Amino acid sequence: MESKRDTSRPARGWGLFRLSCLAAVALAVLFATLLRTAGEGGRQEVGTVSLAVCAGLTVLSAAYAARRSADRRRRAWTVLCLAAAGLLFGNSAAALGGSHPIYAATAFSNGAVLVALLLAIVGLVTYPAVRHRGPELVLMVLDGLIIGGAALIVLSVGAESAVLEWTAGSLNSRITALAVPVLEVTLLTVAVLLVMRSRADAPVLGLLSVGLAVYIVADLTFTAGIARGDLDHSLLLDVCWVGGLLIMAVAGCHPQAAVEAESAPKTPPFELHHTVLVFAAVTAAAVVQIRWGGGTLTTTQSVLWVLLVLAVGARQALLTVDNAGLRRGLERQVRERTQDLRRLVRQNQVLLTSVGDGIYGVDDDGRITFINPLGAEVLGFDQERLLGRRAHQEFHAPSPNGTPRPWDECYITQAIRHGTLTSSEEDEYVRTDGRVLPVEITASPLVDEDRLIGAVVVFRDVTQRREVERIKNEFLSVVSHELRTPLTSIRGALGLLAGGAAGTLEPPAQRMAGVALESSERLTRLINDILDIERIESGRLPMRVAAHEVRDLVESSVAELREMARSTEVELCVGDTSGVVQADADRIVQTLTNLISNAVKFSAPGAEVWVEAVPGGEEVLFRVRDTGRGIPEEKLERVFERFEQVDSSDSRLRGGTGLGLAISRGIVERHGGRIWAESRLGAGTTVQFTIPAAHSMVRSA
Amino acid sequence: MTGVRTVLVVDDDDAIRDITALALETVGGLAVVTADGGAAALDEARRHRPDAVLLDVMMPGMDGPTTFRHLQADLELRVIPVVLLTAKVQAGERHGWEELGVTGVIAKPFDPMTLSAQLAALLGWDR
Repeated sequence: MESKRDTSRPARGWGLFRLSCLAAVALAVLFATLLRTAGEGGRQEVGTVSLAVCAGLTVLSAAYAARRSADRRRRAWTVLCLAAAGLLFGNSAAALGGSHPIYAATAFSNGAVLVALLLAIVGLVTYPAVRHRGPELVLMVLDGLIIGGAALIVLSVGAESAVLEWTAGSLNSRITALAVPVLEVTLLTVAVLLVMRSRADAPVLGLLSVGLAVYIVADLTFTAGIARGDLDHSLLLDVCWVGGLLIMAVAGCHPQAAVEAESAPKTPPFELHHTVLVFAAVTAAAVVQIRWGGGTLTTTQSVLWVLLVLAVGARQALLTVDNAGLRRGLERQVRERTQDLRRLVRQNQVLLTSVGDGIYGVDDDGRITFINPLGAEVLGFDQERLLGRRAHQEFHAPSPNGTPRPWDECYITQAIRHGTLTSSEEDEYVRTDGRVLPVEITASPLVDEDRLIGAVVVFRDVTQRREVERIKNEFLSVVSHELRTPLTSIRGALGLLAGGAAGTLEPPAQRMAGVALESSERLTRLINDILDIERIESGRLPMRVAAHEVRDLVESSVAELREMARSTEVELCVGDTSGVVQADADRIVQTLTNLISNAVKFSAPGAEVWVEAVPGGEEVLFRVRDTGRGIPEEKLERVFERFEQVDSSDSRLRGGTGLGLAISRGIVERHGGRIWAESRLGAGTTVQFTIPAAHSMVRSA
Repeated sequence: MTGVRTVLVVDDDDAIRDITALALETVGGLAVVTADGGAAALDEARRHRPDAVLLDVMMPGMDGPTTFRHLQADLELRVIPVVLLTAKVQAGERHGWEELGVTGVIAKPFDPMTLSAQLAALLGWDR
């Protein structure tokens, strides 16, 4: 949501940021000039005002960032805004009391600053720069405390143990005076640690940290100086305070301040350099204490050391506990994954063992890496014996002419080398006993991370199915013969009767003989069509493909139907017919005959039926056009289905079998062509189909 | 050509044999001799020297192609053109049989009124 808002208005976000940078520089220069030009007396007032203005700007900037952002980020900025407000309040309270907010801080103003610092730590720690787990947060605060404490020890030694003494007063004010530097160092450490751990938020946090660093270093230098009593009441300190606050104000205007960081890569919870930093700080404090501490510890230093040791101990304990937790988690994960893996392996085994097909896998060299028990059994092999052997050489049957199939053309090679998926219903494997097994196979490439690592082949013994097919074919052949034999006599006898070859019949008898003859012809067509469709659908339609002149094919078809057309007074017209097709002439004539006889059947007396064929590119387009009743749009596809007619009474009235178009489609598709119908109800139908053109060499021959 | 042409009709099915003979005789005006099997066909062919043989394919004992090969093996009979009559083919699908060396193929069921014309066309007879 937030990122969307940002990307849609990137220019504005950066424009504001640039403006705020310029304004900050201008203000810094302005205040520096004012502080420089003001006299010793005026500088305090100018300093107070400039600090208040800068703190105010920081409050506004943080509030602006909070308003632009959402959820956790908004909370963090709100807390940071409150922290800046606390600082402003503390400084103002001191200023109203008539003293310089820093040079002459009161216990009250220090208290407010203390609260501000605590809020700032909370704000930074909850800043959603990185995903924190609970222990990480605690660790970060502990690291801040340790480094802060160490820095304070160094400070106290540097200030000759007089850190507390300049704040003459109650224990309360002493603690306050001690706590402020501790918290400041903690805050700075937290900021630095955050910058180190964040990616997308680094610019914002970096600006905040730099601002904090400038402000805090100025503060600490001031504290040390005042404690030592040799404070150089310099302009630089004032500028640092003002500058630090301005830099923080600029951070709030950064476009990234309100944007949810894009899923930052997960950082390891505890990084080594954090630990090194912490121990370097403690070591530095110890070295300073030993070398320059004069061999004694002041009360403050003792307290600091105790706190430091406790914090380091807590840090170590936390790490140990967290590590143990992590290890337990890892161990649990490993246990679960192992169980998952075992389950998966078992599942795979069960699957491969139970499946009704043979399955084997090969590596990128074609060597078998696994084969399921059924696969090995079907081939008569011992499962183990096949592993590592080349499937192609081991059991792929030679070509029908007896020569071994080339390895380059094997589907396994195709899958391994080119990633080709092959399905074939006509393959053969050789069993160990020498028997050839008809199989149906599917070979798929095995791809792992875009790399071909082998292939898996699923095969099925189709001996039984082939046998069933053979019996079915034989049955159909016998049935067709057995049906046609008596039909030949019936049709022949009726033909002779109706034709008057057996003497003239009385008109009613003539009519009946005609009806019987027509029905016997229809029965013949039906038997022929059923056999055809069965052979087309089982892919057994014999095809004798050669180059043929389109004109010859059209003329044969038209000649065959001329008589039929004349009897219904339909005129058969042949348009442009040119080109040469690569096709089975009988089948194309059969298709054309089907289409033309349909067109004639549905044409009114006196109408014309046009037949045309035009070559176009790689194919020849045949077209049969009538001016009959047409086909409704929703049936244009369905008429090519078996027994689908526009009107269920058509087969009865027009003598069709309802199979003609289905057969035609089968024939055209076997040639690699397409067939479709276009029609306007009441205006006629055009059925078109394409057949591949013969090679140009044949055409010129 | 002079005189009436004779056609030897060979079919194991009595009804078809009768219809075929009737069609050729009454419609085509041809003389017909018949045989109910391959062996009988060879005898009749030798005896009558027909102008053509109309030969059924599926017959018990000696089937059509075998009979044809026997006719071809006989130096005197091999000149007689043979047309196969079969229920085993679909209309418009005769190439397989023609490769055997026969003059033509007619599919069953056939149209008796045009049978003799069909035959004449295949054999190149002027009528």
